[in-house]
Amino acid sequence: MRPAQQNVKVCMESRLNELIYEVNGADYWYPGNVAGLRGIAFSVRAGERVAVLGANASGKSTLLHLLDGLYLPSRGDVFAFGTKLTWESVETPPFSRQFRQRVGFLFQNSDAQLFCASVEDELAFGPLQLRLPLEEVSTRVEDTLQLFGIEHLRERSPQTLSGGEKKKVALASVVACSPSVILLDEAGADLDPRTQQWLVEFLDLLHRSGITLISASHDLSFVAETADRALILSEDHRLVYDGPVKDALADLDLLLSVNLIHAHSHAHDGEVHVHPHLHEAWHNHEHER
Amino acid sequence: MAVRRALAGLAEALAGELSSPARSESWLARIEPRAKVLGIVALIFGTSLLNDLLPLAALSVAAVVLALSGRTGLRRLAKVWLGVPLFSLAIILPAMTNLVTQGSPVAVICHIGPGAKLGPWSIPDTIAITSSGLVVAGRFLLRVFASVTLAFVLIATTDHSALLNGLRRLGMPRAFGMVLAMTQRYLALLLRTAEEIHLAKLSRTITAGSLRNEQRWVAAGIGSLFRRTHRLMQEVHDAMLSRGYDGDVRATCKSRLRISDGLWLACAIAVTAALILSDRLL
Repeated sequence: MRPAQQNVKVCMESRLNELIYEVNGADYWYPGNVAGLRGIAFSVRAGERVAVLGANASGKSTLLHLLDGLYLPSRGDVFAFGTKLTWESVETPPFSRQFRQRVGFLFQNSDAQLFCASVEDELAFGPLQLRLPLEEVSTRVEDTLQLFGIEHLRERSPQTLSGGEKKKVALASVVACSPSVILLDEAGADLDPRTQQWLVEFLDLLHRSGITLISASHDLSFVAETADRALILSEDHRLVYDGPVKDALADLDLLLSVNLIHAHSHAHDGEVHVHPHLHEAWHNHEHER
Repeated sequence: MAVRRALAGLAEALAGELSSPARSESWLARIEPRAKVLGIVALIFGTSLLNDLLPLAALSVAAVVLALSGRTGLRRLAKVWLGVPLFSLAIILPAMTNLVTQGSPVAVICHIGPGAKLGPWSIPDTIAITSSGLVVAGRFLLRVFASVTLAFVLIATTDHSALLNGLRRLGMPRAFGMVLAMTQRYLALLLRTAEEIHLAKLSRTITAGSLRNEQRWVAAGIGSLFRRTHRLMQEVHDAMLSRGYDGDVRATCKSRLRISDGLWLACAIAVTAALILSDRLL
């Protein structure tokens, strides 16, 4: 492990099997009584790799926002590290600072996540907000730049980077805070194959370092490589599956019912077949005759 | 097509002007931002105190020398100067005539005849440019020219983030600095979004619509742009909160004042003081 990777080791402080999140019957309603989530209940322990799966608008991003304390449930509770998330708890030190330090969020839109003048400032933003000493901030920035291999981008404005570079810098800005939990919202979306492969390998490195990963996606091939456990949301915003990813991906009826795969008809030898179909690399092509 | 070209041109100009990290490699670029801001502000303050044309002309020459020695680029400088007479003359034109500034006529513009009035004001028989009016216009133009050149020197030789950092260290509220910095960065994104909305409309347009339809489309486009901007604002705020933002933005203080910065500041103040003194003595 390179010296820079020591940055990642901070997360090892989180003991395995420690209860990180407990969500009890959480509902979330957007203004105008638009449902975001209904009756969600699950828990996450330290060191887990969890994928939140669901079709578009099923509530994946909303759930991640709840776990990051950016939204609070309209009904039910979300506990993080044993503390109930309320406006008071997420805005009042010392819990707010500890919570922000321990939980990192990689947003879907990198343009929203990268708001500083340079990549270097971007990496320093989180540690500075956490009131770390300037020497510590400087060390973290250097280590993170080295860890991600983005030293050459140090002075660049994030707005001028390519999509892949933006995603790297966004993840680097999260890792610079040394979180023990990282929430990833559609992290693999819109990335070219090489960058997506880099991301898969990097997430594996983070996981092996003890970081808890919770990623929202509808990309089944990405999920197969980056998670062990799946939470599947239906299109009416309910949790319909909580179990191993392998079992979820093998249950084509379940995937079809939540709109993660679609029924596909085509002809073979003059005979028309209908079968569930995946467009991803993980492609089960057994025909039901 | 004109709208698209204008949006693309604006976005390109903004991206070029606002996103370039290193401005220039001149001696001025190496001056610490706080010292540079104070020195330039002193010189600009001087322009507002000078009345005589000679010291004002001397200060303008000094500003040009600064700009050239700061390697700001003659072409960029020329673009800035082009705007000075265009806007300044439009403002100062009435003050050059005997309508506003009395004096001996230099050039007659037109004869109106006796007894003409504009509301409660009497208008002279002959409207002419006066010698005093020319002095007033010359003073105004030189002030604008020197101030604009000096402000340009500051912007063109200082990295924007370093400049904002310097302003913060001079006492500008951090939240204000953060808003300025983010506005500057997201302007390019906003223009790109506006261009995308326009292109999306263009790709579905076969023939030009009526004026009313075009007006309706522009209104809808503005509404859509506002909604997108609002959503982006919420996302940026969430991203800031997620990384520990609690209403107070902290920043690293990288630069320190050196002897050369002190020398620059002393020179700028001395030049300003000397010019003010000569202005009073002349």
